[in-house]
Amino acid sequence: MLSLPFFVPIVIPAAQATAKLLSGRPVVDALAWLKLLLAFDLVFVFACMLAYPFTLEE
Amino acid sequence: MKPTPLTIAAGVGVVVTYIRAIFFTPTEALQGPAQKIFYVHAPAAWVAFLAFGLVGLASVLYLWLREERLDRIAESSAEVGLMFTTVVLITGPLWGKPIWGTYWTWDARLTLTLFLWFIFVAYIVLRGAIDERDMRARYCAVLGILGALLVPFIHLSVYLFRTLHPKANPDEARCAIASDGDADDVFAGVCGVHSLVRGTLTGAIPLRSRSRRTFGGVAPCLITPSTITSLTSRSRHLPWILRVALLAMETCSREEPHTLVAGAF
Repeated sequence: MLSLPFFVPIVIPAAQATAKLLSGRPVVDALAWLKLLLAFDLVFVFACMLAYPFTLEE
Repeated sequence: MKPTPLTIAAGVGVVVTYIRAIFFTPTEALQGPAQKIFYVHAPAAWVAFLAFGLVGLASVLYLWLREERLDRIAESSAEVGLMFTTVVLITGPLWGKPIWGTYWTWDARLTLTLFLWFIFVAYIVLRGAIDERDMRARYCAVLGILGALLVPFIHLSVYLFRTLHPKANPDEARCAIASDGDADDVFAGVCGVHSLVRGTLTGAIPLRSRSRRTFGGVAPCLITPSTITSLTSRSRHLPWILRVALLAMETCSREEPHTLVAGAF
């Protein structure tokens, strides 16, 4: 349940970018979305890698 | 909590600024009186985002330094942020009804803000769910950091998505509010007042009485100066100088927070 709110900000741009590409628009149109996805990925992959050890018992 | 002089000053500031915002600012031509809700809505949003940012910062520092006080700051700040997100989510629809014709639309910004609210509700729930103090602090710090990292994305959503929500650029917002320079000041003042209210609120609401003292004094320090200066001068730097000075005073004079009873929730 807790993961859902975290997924929403990535699902929206992903859906938007996919919609743009599927409707035959050039990639450039979807670039803003792709950048957002990339930024989100980078930030959260690193944050999760760093934060994960703290969720384990010491 | 006994009200400190700062809290009282804050309370007076709130009343004065809102009287000014409501009665002494020009009415916006297109939106009419409905626009005045901006004076509540936007500052509340800024304060909420700031509070969540503080949750993230305090959480990172907690994981690093393991100081209990940082955990309490994160907790108080999350409550404050949650409170102000609630204000945002209530005042937004109230404005949306007359202007957009609907209370709610599943627009990117609105949706994301709602989900941010869920995350911090979960944060508070998580705090209540774990008895062991260290474990609670660690888990909540992780959730707090990840939640705070979402804030910039939500803020950016307004620029990237073609949304109904007005742009959150302060300059544009102020232009939208009024061409009158006076309204400018009032807007800045109201923003200030909000952080102030939030300092007062943490004291007044017995949600987690143990943590309020940590934060209660800090927020008014951050904000009161902008209220004062918005009413008196137009200097940009003065509020910050005052803020730093007050914060320093408050930090030095504050008594040690009383001991937290481990696992008492």
